[in-house]
Amino acid sequence: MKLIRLALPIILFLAAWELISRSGWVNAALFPPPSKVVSALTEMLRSGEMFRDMQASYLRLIVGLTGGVSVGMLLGLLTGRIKLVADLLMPLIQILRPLPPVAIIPLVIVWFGIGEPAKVFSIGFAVFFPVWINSHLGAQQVPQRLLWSAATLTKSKWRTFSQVIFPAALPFIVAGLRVGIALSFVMVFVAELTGASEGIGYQISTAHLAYRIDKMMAALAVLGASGALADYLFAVGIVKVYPWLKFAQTK
Amino acid sequence: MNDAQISVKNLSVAYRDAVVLKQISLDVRRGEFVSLVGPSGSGKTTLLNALAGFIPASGELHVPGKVGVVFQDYSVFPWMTVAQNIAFGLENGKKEDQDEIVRHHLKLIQLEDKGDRYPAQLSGGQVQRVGIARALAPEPEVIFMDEPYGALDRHTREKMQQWLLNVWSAEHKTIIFVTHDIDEAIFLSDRVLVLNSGKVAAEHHIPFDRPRDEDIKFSSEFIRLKKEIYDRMN
Repeated sequence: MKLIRLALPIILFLAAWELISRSGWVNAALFPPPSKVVSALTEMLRSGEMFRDMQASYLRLIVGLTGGVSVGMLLGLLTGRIKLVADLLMPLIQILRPLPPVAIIPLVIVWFGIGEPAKVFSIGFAVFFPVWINSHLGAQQVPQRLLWSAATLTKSKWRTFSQVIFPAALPFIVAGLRVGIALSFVMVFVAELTGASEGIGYQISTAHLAYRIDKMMAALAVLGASGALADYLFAVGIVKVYPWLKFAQTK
Repeated sequence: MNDAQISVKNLSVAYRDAVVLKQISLDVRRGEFVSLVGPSGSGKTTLLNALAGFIPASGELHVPGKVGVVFQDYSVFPWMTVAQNIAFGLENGKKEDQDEIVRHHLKLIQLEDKGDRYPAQLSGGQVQRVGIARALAPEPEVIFMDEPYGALDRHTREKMQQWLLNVWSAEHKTIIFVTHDIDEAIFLSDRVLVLNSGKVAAEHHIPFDRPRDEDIKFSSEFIRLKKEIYDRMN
């Protein structure tokens, strides 16, 4: 039942698109029907170019995400809990935060060139902010009574941090991570528009130059599906690692 | 020095410009059960927090280093199972000994088969027992309880009161208990302190023998005490 509910809107959408595209009401070169997009996709998969591009993009995503998430989470927990660190870093971060992450790409290219470090840095930079702000808020809202309770039970700062403050902040961190994952897919595309020789974003821009709308759409579909899958896997995986989160979410 | 385990002289707490507690002096014997009652804003929770060392206070304050605490809400860690909550304060000794202490306390709170459950999977009364077991497990000398039963329904509350008395007499702990329920305070305590506007307005020694039975709540002595305390609170 759930599967039908999920699949039905997609099937209806594709069917309508196919019909309209074939009816001649629209320019089929600009709006190729799904069937053509699927055959373009199969061709790209068979030739191996799609796998090569997926691999390149996923690798950038993973490295950039890991970097942005690690730094964002660590700094967020620190600025949320330690006043000195907050005083030191908050003004700086607050100035950088309103920047659209895409706008730093020209600067990043000047610094890092057009290679992998530039792409990974751009992704990490974009991911950092939502993860940081959520970790910061999560660490700030730890109920005082919980900390008092912990203080009577352990003198260890590390145990208090890892077993009380971190889990108390985790529902916020998870929300930040999901925003970060979504942003990383935006950034991998934008980063691959400049000076890439492989990747899903590169695929889309070369298909654009070759006027292969079917290939463009195939690559777009892969990018969209990857993003949705990454978000889904994260949502399922995090509850597997921290089973108690499912109670936190229903409350 | 007398035989007091907790000894407080001229304890005052100020919050911003307002003085919340004014020159409170108090001695508590080892093993004594003392309740603090009072209307909202009387300072009873502030006094408990000051005694537990959670908030700064001026005056002379002698409280044992190792204390336990139970709050109405946020007392247990929702991300730990029942057993993990109880074990959190156990940092010394061998793993087997710690496990044994956890088992003992699971039995004490009648949740032997629920050690691997999360607090969200338990009833309110059960969660509060986990909080008490977690406070008891590291063997503190004093336990501070801030309206631990405030969120429970009447029936559960009365069962928990009886249970707490059993635990208290078995474990020989000093308990400082904050409540706004006069019945609860009289039924549980050796002594009830009435707080009003940041001062101890009255002190009542509770004469009932132990172990106590619910029936004492209907005795004329109990009702007389209740009336006296009630008048001091308002």
